[in-house]
Amino acid sequence: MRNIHEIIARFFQGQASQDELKKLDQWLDDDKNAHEFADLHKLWSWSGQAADKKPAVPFSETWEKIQPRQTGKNNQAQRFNSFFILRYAAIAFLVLNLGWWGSHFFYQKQNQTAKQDFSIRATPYANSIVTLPDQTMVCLRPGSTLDYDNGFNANKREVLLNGEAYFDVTRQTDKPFIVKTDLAQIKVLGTKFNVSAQQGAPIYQTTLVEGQVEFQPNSGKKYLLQPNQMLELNTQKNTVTISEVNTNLYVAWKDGKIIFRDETLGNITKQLEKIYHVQFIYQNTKLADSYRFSGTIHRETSIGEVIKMLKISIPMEVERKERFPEPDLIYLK
Amino acid sequence: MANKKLKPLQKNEFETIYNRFFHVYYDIAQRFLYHEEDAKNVVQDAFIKLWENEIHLQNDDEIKNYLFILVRNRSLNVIRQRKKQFQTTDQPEYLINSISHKLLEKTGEDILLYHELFEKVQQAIQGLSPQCKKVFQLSRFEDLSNKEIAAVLDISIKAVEANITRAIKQLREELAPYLISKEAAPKLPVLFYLSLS
Repeated sequence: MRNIHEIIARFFQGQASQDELKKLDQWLDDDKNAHEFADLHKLWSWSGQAADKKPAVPFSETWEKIQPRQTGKNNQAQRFNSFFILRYAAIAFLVLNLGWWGSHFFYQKQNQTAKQDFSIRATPYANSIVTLPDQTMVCLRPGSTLDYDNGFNANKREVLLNGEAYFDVTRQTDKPFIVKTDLAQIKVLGTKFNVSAQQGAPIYQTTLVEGQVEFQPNSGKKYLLQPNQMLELNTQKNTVTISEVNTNLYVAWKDGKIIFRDETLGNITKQLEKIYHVQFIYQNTKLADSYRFSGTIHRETSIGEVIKMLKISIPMEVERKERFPEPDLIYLK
Repeated sequence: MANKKLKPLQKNEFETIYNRFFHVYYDIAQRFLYHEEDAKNVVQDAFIKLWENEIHLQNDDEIKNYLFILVRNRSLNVIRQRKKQFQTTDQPEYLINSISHKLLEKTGEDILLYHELFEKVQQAIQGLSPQCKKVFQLSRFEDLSNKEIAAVLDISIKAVEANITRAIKQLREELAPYLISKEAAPKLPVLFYLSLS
C-alpha cells in the first residue's frame, strides 16, 4: 500500500484507485488528518487555477433570475412617516405580494415548459459518471460533452454527444432513447452500449453490449446492431462497416482499464494520453509504428510504471518533464 | 452602530462584485463538487442570496467571507443530496463525494487567501523583466539547475544567479504585505518561491 501522502497526490490528479480512495476516506475520519488534508487541498486549489476570470454564468443571466422578485424589494424601500399609511402600505404590499406570488408561480410553471439546456462536460482528468433524469447511467470519457434540454424524459429522451460515452439506458418502451452526434443518431429502447464520436475524428464507433440499437447516419439508411457487434462510420467516405467484436475491449475504459490487442505504440500512447494527464512526444518518429503490443493496463497503475513496462520491451530512452497543472511531457527517443 | 446609516447594495455595485468574484467561488466549488453544472448553480444561488438578503456589508472582506459561507453551505447541501442517491458505498464516485464532504467541513474562508495570493504572485511574476521572468520560471517551475538554465538561455551562470536574486528581491518587495504576519507566513504558499533562494 502506498503511503497516505502519495495517495493524496494521486487524489488531486484524479488518479487514485478505488482502494486508495477508500483508504483516504477512512483516514479522514480522524479530525486531525482531515485538517491536514484540508490545508493541502487549499494549496492544491491555489495552484493551477483557471486563467479564465470571466464569470461562468454571465451577470445578465443571474440578474434575469432575480428580476421577478424585484417588486418586493422596491416596495420595501419605500418609507412612509404615518403609521396609518404604513399600515395601508403594508396591506397593499401584502396584496401586491400575493399577486407577485401568483405571477411567480405562473412564471415558474411557464419556465418549466420553456426550453432550458443542460450541458455536462467531463473533467479533463477522469471519467465522469452522470445519472440522467430517467435514471440512465452515462459514463463520459475525459473531455467529452453531453447536452440535453429539460424536455428530456417528457415525451422523448434525446441527448447530444461529442466525444465518447458508455450508456446504460433504462428501459421505457414508450420513449426511445436517442443519442445524437453531428453525423449520425443512435436509437435504443433499453440497452448497454458505447459510442465514440469525437467531432473531427476519422471514424465514429458504436459498440453494443446488450439489447438492440438502431444506427442512422444523417444521410443514409438505418442499421440494426446486435449484441457483440461494432459499427464503424468512416466520417470521410461516409461508409459503414459492422463487425463482430469482443465488446470488453471497447468498454473497458469505463472501469478504468485499457485493453490493447495488437496495437502500435503510437495508438497506445494516444490512448494513454486520454487516461493519464500526460502528453507523449516522439523524438524518434520510427518508434510509433515499429512496435506492437497486446495487454491490459489498470487505471491504478501509475504512468511511470506503464512506461517502465514499455521500456523493458523497447530499446528507447524516456524523459519526463513535469508541468503540473499542464500535462506532463514524455519524450520518447 | 444602529445610527450609522448604511445604504443597501445598488445594482451596479452588485454587478461589480459579481464580475470580480464569481470565478473565484466557481473554482472553489468545482474543487469540491467536480461538476460544472452543480458548481455554477451553487455560486449563482449564493449571489442571488447576497442580493436578496440585503445584508449591509461594509467592505470587500465581509462580502467575500459571507459569499464563501453561502457557497460552502450550498455545496454541502449538494454533497448530502448526492449521498442519498448512491446505491453502494464503495464505488469511486461515492468515495470522492464522501472525501469532499469531510474536506469541506474543515475548510474555512482562509481558502480565499490562497486564491488571492495566487493572483498576486502571478501579477508580480508578470511584472518581472522578460529575461528575469524566464530565468525565474525555469528555476522555480521547471526545476532546472542554474547550470542547465545557463545552457538553455545561453548566458553565464553568474548572470543566471544575478537574475534569480533580482527576481526574488522584486517579488519580496511586491508581496511584502503578505509576508508581514509571522504567524500566517508558514502557511502561505508564497514562501515556496521565496524561501528557495
